[in-house]
Amino acid sequence: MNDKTRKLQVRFNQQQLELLDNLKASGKFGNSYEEVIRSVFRQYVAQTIGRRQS
Amino acid sequence: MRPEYGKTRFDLILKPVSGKAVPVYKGEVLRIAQVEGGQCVDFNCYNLHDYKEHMAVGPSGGLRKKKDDLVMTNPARNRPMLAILEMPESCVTDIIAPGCSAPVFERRAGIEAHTNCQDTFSECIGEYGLTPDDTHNSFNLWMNSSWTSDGKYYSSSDRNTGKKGDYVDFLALMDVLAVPVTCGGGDFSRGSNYWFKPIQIQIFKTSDDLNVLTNDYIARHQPKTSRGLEDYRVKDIRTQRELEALAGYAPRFKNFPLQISEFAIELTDDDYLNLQKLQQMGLGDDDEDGLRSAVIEWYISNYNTAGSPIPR
Repeated sequence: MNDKTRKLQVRFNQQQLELLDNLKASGKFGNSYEEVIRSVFRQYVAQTIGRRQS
Repeated sequence: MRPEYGKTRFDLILKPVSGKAVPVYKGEVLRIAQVEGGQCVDFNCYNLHDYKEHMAVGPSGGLRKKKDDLVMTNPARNRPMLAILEMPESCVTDIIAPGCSAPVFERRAGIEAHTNCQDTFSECIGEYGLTPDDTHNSFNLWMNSSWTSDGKYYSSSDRNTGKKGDYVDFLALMDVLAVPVTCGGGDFSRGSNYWFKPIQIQIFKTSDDLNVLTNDYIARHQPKTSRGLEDYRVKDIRTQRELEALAGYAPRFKNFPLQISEFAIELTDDDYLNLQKLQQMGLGDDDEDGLRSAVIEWYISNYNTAGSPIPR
């Protein structure tokens, strides 16, 4: 695991934020939008790239 | 288990190149049957109490309609109109072809006085005071068309596979004016195997089984977001044919202008490498596009409309 980090700017509209609000409310993906976005991105990677490699 | 239908209240043999506009009430079943086999049927359908709401022929759920599929009404109504209770494998459906019209035969064969579904529909709905402009794209039954993944479409590319006695049953989920017609183009194509045949139309009264089924379909598929004229500012259906802008009218688009929020997301080098891989796979044109697309695509794939995870 490489620990170096970088920051990316990403924009969402209010309709997309409603979806992230649902995830935030579930408490499973983090407490802030930033945590939810990163966590869900990793879920997506696991489902796509992870599946392709397995 | 197959529901028990009520008694037959309407029974008509449609002769070749004809049709019939007939009311079918909520909970009743409309049966369209092959008499000899091999006849294409075109189908229009309207809300009996508001003709501006009609069948929307589109690929909701797939490009071929099948048994158990729903037929919805046009946007912005988007309500369940019919449920397909029975449809044999031999009934290949085409929801792409708009229904044949006179210019088709002018172009193909230089014939101007050929029968066609547009003219047949128009004659049928004229009984209810509707004009040719009120016809809509056809739901084509027993029409074996095909298409390719790069978008080429072949109307009636294969022979009609309908067999004598085959039938399609539609359960009415609202009061409708159903307009089935025997396709008027099949003597020049494989649509009806180069020969016109009759079609049988029957309507079965509702029953306890059908009432339960109807209410169940509506409860499961009636969207909360169905909209009618009452939901918009312009409510009067225009009767003046010439179009001119309404003085002072300004559209009020939903959620317009969009509110944009920006976030700084900390990614590890491994995360970033994966983001690059996703872009190479076609997800996003840049880092932001790829990250946003991944997040929204994951949600839509994994959560249901109630905001809960979809069970796997």
